Amino acid sequence: MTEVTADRQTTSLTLPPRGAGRLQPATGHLPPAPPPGVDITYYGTPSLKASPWKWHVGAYLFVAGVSGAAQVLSLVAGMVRGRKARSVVRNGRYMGLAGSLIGAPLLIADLHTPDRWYNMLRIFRSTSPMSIGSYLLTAFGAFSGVSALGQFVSDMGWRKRAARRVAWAAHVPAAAAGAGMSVYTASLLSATSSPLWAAATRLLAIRFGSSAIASGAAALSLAERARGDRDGNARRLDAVAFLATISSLVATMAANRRYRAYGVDSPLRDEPAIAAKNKLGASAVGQALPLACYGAAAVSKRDRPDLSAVASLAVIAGSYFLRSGIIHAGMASSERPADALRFARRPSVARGNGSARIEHWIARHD
Amino acid sequence: MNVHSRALEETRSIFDRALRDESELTAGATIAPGRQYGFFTDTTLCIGCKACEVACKEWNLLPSESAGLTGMSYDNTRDLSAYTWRHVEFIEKIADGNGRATDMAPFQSNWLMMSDVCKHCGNAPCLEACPTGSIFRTEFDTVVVQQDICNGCGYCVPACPFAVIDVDPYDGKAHKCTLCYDRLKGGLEPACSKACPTDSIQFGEYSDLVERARQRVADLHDRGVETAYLYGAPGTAGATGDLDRLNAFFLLIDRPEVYNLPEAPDRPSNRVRPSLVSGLATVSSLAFAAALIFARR
Amino acid sequence: MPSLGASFGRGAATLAQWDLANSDCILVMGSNMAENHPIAFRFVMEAKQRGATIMHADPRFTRTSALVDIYAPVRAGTDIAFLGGIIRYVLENDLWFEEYALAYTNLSTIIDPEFRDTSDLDGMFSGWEPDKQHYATGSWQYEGMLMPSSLTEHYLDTAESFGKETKILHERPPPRDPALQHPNCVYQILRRHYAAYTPEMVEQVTGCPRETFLKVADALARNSGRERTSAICYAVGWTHHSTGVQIIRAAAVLQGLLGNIGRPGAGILALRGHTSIQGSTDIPTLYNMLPSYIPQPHAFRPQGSLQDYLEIEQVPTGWWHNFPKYFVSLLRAWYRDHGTKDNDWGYNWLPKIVGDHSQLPMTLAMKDRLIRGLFLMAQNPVIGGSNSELVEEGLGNLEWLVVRDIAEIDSASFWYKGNLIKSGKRRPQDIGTEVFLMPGSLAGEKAGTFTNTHRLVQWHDAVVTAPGDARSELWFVYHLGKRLKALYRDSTAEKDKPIQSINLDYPVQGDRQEPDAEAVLQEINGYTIADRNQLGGVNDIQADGSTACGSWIYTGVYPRNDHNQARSRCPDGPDGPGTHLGWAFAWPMNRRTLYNRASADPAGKPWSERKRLVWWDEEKKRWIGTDSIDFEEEKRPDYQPDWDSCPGGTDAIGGADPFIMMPDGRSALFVTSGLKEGPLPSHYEPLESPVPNQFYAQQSSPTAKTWERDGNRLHDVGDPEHPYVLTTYRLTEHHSGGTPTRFVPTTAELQPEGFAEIPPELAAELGIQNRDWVVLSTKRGSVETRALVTNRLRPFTIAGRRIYQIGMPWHFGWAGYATGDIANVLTAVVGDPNTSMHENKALTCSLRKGRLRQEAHA
Ligand SMILES: Nc1nc2c(c(=O)[nH]1)N[C@H]1C(S)=C(S)[C@@H](COP(=O)(O)OP(=O)(O)OC[C@H]3O[C@@H](n4cnc5c(=O)[nH]c(N)nc54)[C@H](O)[C@@H]3O)O[C@H]1N2
Ligand SMILES: Nc1nc2c(c(=O)[nH]1)N[C@H]1C(S)=C(S)[C@@H](COP(=O)(O)OP(=O)(O)OC[C@H]3O[C@@H](n4cnc5c(=O)[nH]c(N)nc54)[C@H](O)[C@@H]3O)O[C@H]1N2
Ligand code: SF4
Ligand code: SF4
Ligand code: SF4
Ligand code: SF4
Ligand code: SF4
Ligand SMILES: [Mo]
Repeated sequence: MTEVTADRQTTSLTLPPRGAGRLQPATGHLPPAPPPGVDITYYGTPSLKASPWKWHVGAYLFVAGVSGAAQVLSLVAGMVRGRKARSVVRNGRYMGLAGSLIGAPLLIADLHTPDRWYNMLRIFRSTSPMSIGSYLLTAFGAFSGVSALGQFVSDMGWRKRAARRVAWAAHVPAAAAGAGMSVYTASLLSATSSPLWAAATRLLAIRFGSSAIASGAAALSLAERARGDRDGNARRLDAVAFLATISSLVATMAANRRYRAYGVDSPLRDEPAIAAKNKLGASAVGQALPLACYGAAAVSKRDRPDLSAVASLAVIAGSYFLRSGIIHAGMASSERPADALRFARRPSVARGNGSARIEHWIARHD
Repeated sequence: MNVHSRALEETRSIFDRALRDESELTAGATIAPGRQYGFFTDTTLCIGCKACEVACKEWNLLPSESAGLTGMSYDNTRDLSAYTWRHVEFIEKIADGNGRATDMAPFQSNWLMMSDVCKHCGNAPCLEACPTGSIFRTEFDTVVVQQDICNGCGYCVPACPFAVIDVDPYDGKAHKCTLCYDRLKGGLEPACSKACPTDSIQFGEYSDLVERARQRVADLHDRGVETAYLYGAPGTAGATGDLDRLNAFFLLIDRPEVYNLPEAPDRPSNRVRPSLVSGLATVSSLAFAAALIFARR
Repeated sequence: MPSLGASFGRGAATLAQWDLANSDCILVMGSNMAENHPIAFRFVMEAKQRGATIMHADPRFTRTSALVDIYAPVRAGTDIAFLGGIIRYVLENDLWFEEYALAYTNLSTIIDPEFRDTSDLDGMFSGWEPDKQHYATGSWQYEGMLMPSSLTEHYLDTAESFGKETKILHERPPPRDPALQHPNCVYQILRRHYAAYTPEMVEQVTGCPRETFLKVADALARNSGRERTSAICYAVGWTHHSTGVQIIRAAAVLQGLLGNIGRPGAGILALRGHTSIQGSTDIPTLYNMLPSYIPQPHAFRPQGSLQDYLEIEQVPTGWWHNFPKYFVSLLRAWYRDHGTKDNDWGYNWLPKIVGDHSQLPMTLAMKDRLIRGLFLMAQNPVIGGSNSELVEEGLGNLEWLVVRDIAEIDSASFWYKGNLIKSGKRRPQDIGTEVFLMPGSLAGEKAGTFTNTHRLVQWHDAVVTAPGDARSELWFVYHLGKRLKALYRDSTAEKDKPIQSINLDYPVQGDRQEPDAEAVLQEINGYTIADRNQLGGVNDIQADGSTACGSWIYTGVYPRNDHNQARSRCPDGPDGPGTHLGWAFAWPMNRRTLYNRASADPAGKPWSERKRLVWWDEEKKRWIGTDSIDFEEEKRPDYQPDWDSCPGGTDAIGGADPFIMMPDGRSALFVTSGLKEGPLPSHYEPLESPVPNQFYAQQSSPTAKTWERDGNRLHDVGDPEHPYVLTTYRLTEHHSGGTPTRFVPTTAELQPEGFAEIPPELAAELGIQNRDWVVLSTKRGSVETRALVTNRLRPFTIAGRRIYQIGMPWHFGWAGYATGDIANVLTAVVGDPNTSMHENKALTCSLRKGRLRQEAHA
């Protein structure tokens, strides 16, 4: 047998690497995009994963919107109208408390490991609306609780003055948190990769903010009506709701146009449950119906508690449908690879030069 | 055959202890905390053997989740999930009729195969979304989920631009590729890249990998594979929209969509500020309007 | 394997897997290398990186095809037409490597004037004996000389005494015409033989487009010669045919002509099957061979005594002349002190064979209740055996069946889950077979060696203890033997002597009394009987009974009492030669590239700097190089046998004759003996084919074995009821019968169900959609499976007809997580004449949409 000897180590058959020293290293160019109308997917399997959320999240988003806005409006009403808005202030404070008492368990129930909910408060992360929301909810709950407690104590007639002071002192931060509560949920959706949630970030925030204010006003209005609207708060609240609904309607129309332009509107069109929630629930019930009622009431030149109540209920329902509808539309949109991959070709991101390109791109695809 | 010079020191067939820095021998990379690591997956070398998938499941003790024959070429895995952290895709691009090729580009062509994995993004959207801090960036610049902290909020799932991370309904936690955090700590290269017979998956220090990848693209261009390009290396498709870079990046020869990859994903957290600002502005304006309304007599 | 043996001298891959990295061109044909040999394919990729041209010829576009430069689609079973076409291309265009082929092959040798070629006799060679259904090989010999084969069986069936006629080999070299003008020299015969294999015919027969075929031929020719080398890799896509041996022969002819044997990056890489399948032919699990390619004595041959046996098995010239040393030392290892010179070292205790005892005829014998009991040790024949229902019937007719495996495999549960049970043809209560399921241990649970596809013997330790009652094969056989010996200890009957005499003295270890596998390896290597010193090399083996050796080709694997070379793990460094001689042991004598003398020219100089491997060093007066020399190390390149002295053995081999196992020292382009179907490969259609043979009147191989009977009928040529070609194959995701993968969730999920691959054109004709259920049928049986409609299969136009091919992986069965119908229900028991290898790569079948078993609808 041949032993391994030194002179065996002489030959080796390595050739110079091909192209060595001839070409500069490169990263290459993307093959051209498919023409408009041609979609490439991987056997139609999703290119994104939908959030694993259950119904609780929709409910929570709604509760956060109503109660947060109620807290804000009651503060404004109290500050502007003083004693005349006493009942609004009281209801707003209780609604704030109720919102936190319902909202927090809803949110925890949606966790897949609910007994670790407190880890949300382990860190703060400004990039995460979920984290921001945890602290907003905590603050909202705490201040709403204190404010409602003060209200309760003063309503019971114990240490009235101190209690009122405490209630007011807590109401201001509760309202601030409430403002956050009513809109951060839009960023919760937009700050994901779901095309439909991401496509109209600002408009979605405007829609959520408007519908929150509308529903908060509607809820407070209903409460006033229940007591016969002795102080004329309901009328004013209805006006707020009317204005907010207009704002929501305008933002919704703009958003829908944007969805169409980006080609991510398909779930809104062809999934019956989602289409129903958005078109029937959020738009017809939540916007058209209340606007009609408010309009009719305005035309009739006298107070119309019936129309007001219907409008309020519709606004509140619409606020729920809007959120639930958008959540489901966004989840469906994630699972539509053609939409998602097309969305991910938008030049603003691909070439990184801003909204001018978006407009150009939208024009091309509209 | 490429042999690392250290192979000459480790010539026993019995080892009474773990090999020191085994990764040097198997991947040519020394693993040390504080440096950046990742994968360069060169799809043109992939033979679709799925050894990476199996190695990952075996090392990480992941269960199987078969739903039967998919009919999607040889891909019966379908997607990445809480239990599947490597997924080999198969795309048949063989023309119909008499157009079926016999003369082909060097390396992989006509039947594309690509081993997909968590990208360990630069500005990782999952990490940025995680409210508990369960997802963190390790000392190897990889992105890892700590299941003992995760509360299953599921927010990381829609945040990920690549359909990677998922919540396991059984244990209620999010799971994904750890880039074999445990192995890296022990000086071992990840299980998947070690198992890859053709070095389609290459593990190493990020800057080395990018360099190697650029060289490879140049070489492929030189050989006439003009479609070769990098996906996820800094400044390329996939590393768009402020993601900065994908620590697991790819050499592809067809459109990203063909591989179920977004051409230009972005960083979702960039939308937090505009959203909050617009929302708060809306609420404030309406609150102000309300104040005016309340103030009317 | 007989094919490589007959052509070059040893039935094994001629080069190391990693040497493929040095190839300039690689043709993978008859193998789905990337899928089934992914680790070896790594070196193909390395060659590609260095600029090599990679080609794949296969009926299907596979994961291998996706990685190559040229993909040549071929109809299953037409490889000889394709390779014959290349041979013709190379000869007619003078592209062969003249200096190499003239010196190192029998190209110039003159063949018997009586020889008639298939081109003369319309598909038959001279010598056919219709009554015996075989060829007499007399007219295939070198003119005036009887050439024994280099194969296991040196015995030749001739009228006269074998000894006398071959003795001429001592007297003169074979007759040659270096000018290649003699009409019966091999060169001229080859040219005539392949004259009809034109590119046009190749296209018509194989279906491969002419241009593609020419590109393959051109790439091989261009990348062969002094400066460049090409390699061919094959596996069972070639062997699973009634003509399998001859397909490989065609590759051997081609590589001989192109000078691609014994050189870096050159050769024929037989990609073997199971992890140690090469080991199981070296130390065989085959019925007709003893270790190291020594033929099993045959009862009907004049081999009654050791002397007779040696007389007809010892060849006069070439390395095999050492035969008595190896055989006697084997007997010494087995019978030790019971064997003496007087009792022929125990020769008569060896069992004698009487016919074909391979798996296929055994199956029939079980069915006919000739065989009553069966040990199934690591085999799953219900899945892997041809004609699965016949196998079930065979197993069901046994009295007892011992299954040693790691799970309750399909072959153990056939009696209550089998196809015959499912279809109601048999009932469990009517099957009398008593099944003993005994747990086996897996590789990591036991120590031993693997011999890989390039003859590399690598030791592995036991790393975990086998669970429960699971035991190694070594344990089982050893203790079974011990118990048998105890039972027969007191017998005085002569017939019990073999059991009493067999040597089982191995040390055992631990509570479980596990025999020491290293002691077995030591015996395989061989030792001196007197002082029990390990033999250092084959030259130490003696014929006088002083040495014992379990398998002579492995001598050197354990060369010192304290050194197990199979355990060695010293690779070459990054700048080393890359032959890695310090890494384990390759038989014989640690040679990595066989016949490496051929890497130098006749004068002993490397053909080129780029392709040097070993060469003659005039100063040192010996051969040196980067590999272990496969030649006598001190034989000068200009050595000529001194014919006057009647040289024997290697003394009759010249210094420029690299193939030392061959009686004439040259590779055989023309094979005179040892192969049953002829000296040169001719294209025959598979036994079942949709088309007639376009080359000859002879449709299929006249020598192929068939066992036509009820339940094992074959389809006629062009049978309209079975119009489609069916081929069966593997998937990366599963292993053979599937036990190691179908039972393991992480691999089972990768290919969770059986399927058949169908070209879209055929699917459209039959209204079949992707994932639809379909039924495939043959005269042997029917299966239902899912359709995978894919462009990776294409229709062929053969002889003006459109021919569809269907592919079906054969891994599936009812056991485990990944299940599906058994492809082998469709196949027939037929065999190659030399190896009895089945023809599961090319048969015909019918296909329809729908299901087989209505109840499965629910
Ligand atoms: N993953 C995996 N690896 C394995 C195994 C396994 O089961 N799984 N088994 C091992 C074993 S036991 C073996 S024997 C080897 C076998 O290794 P291979 O020979 O590669 O195995 P197959 O897939 O059976 O057949 C190879 C190819 O031959 C093609 N073919 C069929 N008919 C013809 C023909 O007439 N001509 C040509 N040119 N090609 C044809 C088939 O389309 C197929 O692609 O693999 C070993 N390695
Ligand atoms: N139609 C068709 N049929 C074919 C082929 C084809 O291509 N097409 N290929 C043929 C070929 S090449 C081959 S090799 C055969 C293979 O046919 P088989 O050899 O029957 O197939 P395997 O499934 O590999 O069987 C090996 C069994 O050994 C078990 N085993 C593994 N390791 C051990 C061990 O250490 N100890 C014990 N006791 N058991 C162990 C495994 O669990 C498995 O059940 O099939 C042949 N059949
Ligand atoms: S790919 Fe997805 S899961 Fe992986 S780091 Fe990026 S965002 Fe996170
Ligand atoms: S599911 Fe777990 S890992 Fe994902 S964001 Fe929530 S807490 Fe973080
Ligand atoms: S790096 Fe580790 S965890 Fe990630 S895919 Fe590879 S094997 Fe799996
Ligand atoms: S192990 Fe490597 S070659 Fe195999 S599928 Fe994975 S990436 Fe591809
Ligand atoms: S399965 Fe084992 S034997 Fe087969 S290629 Fe892989 S490592 Fe080699
Ligand atoms: Mo095999």
